Amino acid sequence: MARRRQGSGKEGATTVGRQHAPSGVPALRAAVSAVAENASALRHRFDEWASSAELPAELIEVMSLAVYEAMANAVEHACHDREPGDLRLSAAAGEPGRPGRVVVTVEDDGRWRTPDAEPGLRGRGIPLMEALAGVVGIETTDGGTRVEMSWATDAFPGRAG
Amino acid sequence: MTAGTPSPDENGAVVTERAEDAVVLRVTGELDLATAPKLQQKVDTALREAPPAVLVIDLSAVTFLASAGMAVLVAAHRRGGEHTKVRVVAAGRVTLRPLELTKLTTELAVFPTTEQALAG
Repeated sequence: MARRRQGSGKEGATTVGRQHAPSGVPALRAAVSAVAENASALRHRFDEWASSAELPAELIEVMSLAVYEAMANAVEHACHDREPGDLRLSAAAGEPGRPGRVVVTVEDDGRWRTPDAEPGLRGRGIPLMEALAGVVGIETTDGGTRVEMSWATDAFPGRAG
Repeated sequence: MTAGTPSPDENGAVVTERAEDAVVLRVTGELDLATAPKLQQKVDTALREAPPAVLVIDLSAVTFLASAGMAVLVAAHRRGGEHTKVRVVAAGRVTLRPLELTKLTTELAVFPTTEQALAG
C-alpha cells in the first residue's frame, strides 16, 4: 500500500481531480444491459481502452479473458427469471491509491449462480479468472455481485506452464 | 460497433466439412457465450446423424476462447464417447492458454493441425 504523504503544495495539488493512467488515459466506465452480445461488445471496448493505456499485448489478452469471464457470469446471473439487469464495467490503470496496478471491476444486479448440477461441463469461469488474475475478489449481496481483479501493469500472470 | 469487430453473422461461424468417416468443424472468430450455441448446434448435428469415427473441432481461426466455448468442447468429447473420437485443433496462444489453465489439454485430445488431428 502506498504511504500517504503530506507533501509540498505542488504534490498535493495533483491529487485532486480526474484520475489518469500514466499514459494519460482516463478510467473506463460503462454500463449495459446484461446480455451476452453486450458482454462481447464491452470486451472489445476494454481491449481498446487497455491498448490506449499502452499496456503490454500479452497482459491485455490475459485481462480480456478474465474480464470477459466475469461479465459472462454476470450475464448468466441476470437472465434466469426476469428482465436482465445492468452489467457495469470499470477499469483504471495507475490510480494514486494503486500505483502500478490495473484494477478492473465487474458488477451486476443478479443473484449469484450456484454451480451446475452436472460437474465438469460448466463452472470453469471462476477458476479461469483466478488463474488469470491471481487475486479475484468476489462480493455478493442481495443486490448483486461485484468482482474485482487487478494486475501489475508490467506483468503477465496468466502465462501458462 | 468498433472497427475490427467481426460482424455478428461471421463471428463464431462454423463450417462443416465431411471427409471419409470424419467430420471437421471449422470455427471462426470469437467462441464465447454469445457464439457457443452455433458450435453446439453443429456438434449436435454431426453426432446425431450417422456419427463419424472422428469429429475434429478446428479452432485455428478462433480469435477468442471463453469458458462457454470450452464447455461445448467438453460436452462433445463426453458425448462422443467410444463411438466418435472428438479431437480439438488449437495452435495459438489465445486458444491454448485457456485450455491449459483449465487443464483441458489433458482431458481433451488437442492437436496443432487438422491433418494431425485426422491422423490421430
